[in-house]
Amino acid sequence: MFVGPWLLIPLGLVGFVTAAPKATRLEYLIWGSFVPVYAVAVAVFYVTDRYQLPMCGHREHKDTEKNTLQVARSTRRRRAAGASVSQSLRGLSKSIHRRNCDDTEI
Amino acid sequence: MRSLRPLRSTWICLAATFALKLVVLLQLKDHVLTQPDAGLDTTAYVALADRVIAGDAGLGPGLYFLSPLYIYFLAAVLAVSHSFTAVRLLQIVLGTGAVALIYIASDEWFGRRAARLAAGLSALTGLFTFYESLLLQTALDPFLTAAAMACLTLALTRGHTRSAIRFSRTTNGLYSA
Repeated sequence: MFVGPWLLIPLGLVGFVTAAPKATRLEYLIWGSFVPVYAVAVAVFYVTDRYQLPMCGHREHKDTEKNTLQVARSTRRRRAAGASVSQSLRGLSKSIHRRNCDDTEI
Repeated sequence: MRSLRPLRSTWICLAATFALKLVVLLQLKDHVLTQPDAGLDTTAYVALADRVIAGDAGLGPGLYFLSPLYIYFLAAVLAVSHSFTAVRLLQIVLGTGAVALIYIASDEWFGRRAARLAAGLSALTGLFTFYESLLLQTALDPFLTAAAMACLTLALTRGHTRSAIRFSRTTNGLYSA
């Protein structure tokens, strides 16, 4: 059982780009967006992610200090992801609002 | 449009995948860390499943502190079979199903050769088989993800839009649970 994320992730990414079907591009993008959207959703919202299938192999838990450091890093990452998502949503809603206002003025 | 009817070679490959997973399962099932009383989440899942079997279906008062789907999955299988080996066996059957679903999705998008490669690589992924041998909610993840992706694929590429989207939504809902 030699196959792991070290092989699947690079092969998958290369295949996803190079083997994209030309005729059904939009459908393909909708299908392909599942994994990143799900990953972001887990990073932002899922609280007890200790036992979810690890995306990058096993994480080693050797000592308490390291665990604490990992938890702190994980919390920071989640906060950063949440902040960037909320900022992009805010930007998107602002631009939609601006466009709607422009339409009303016209 | 290709037929979804499996070929004989597909059944042979799936049988080989099941056999491979069965070997890993037999090697891991008696390991001290994979037992129901090993502590942590596995023990909690088993205790909650026992409560469900005893009639406390809502598991109240209080909130779910573990994924609810796996508690009910475990309770359903244990109520029928009273055996943890049966639970693990069902999990590797679902894992074999995940390989088939990966084949279906890849075949639709990239063709038969890529589908064979994708299915072969997923069958040889040790991480999937390892988690399928444990009593944890992660055992269902490969199957539910593959099912959601395959249903979405069929919804987008074939005419069965409504039913496939409904299945995709259901599997995604189960996955979230």
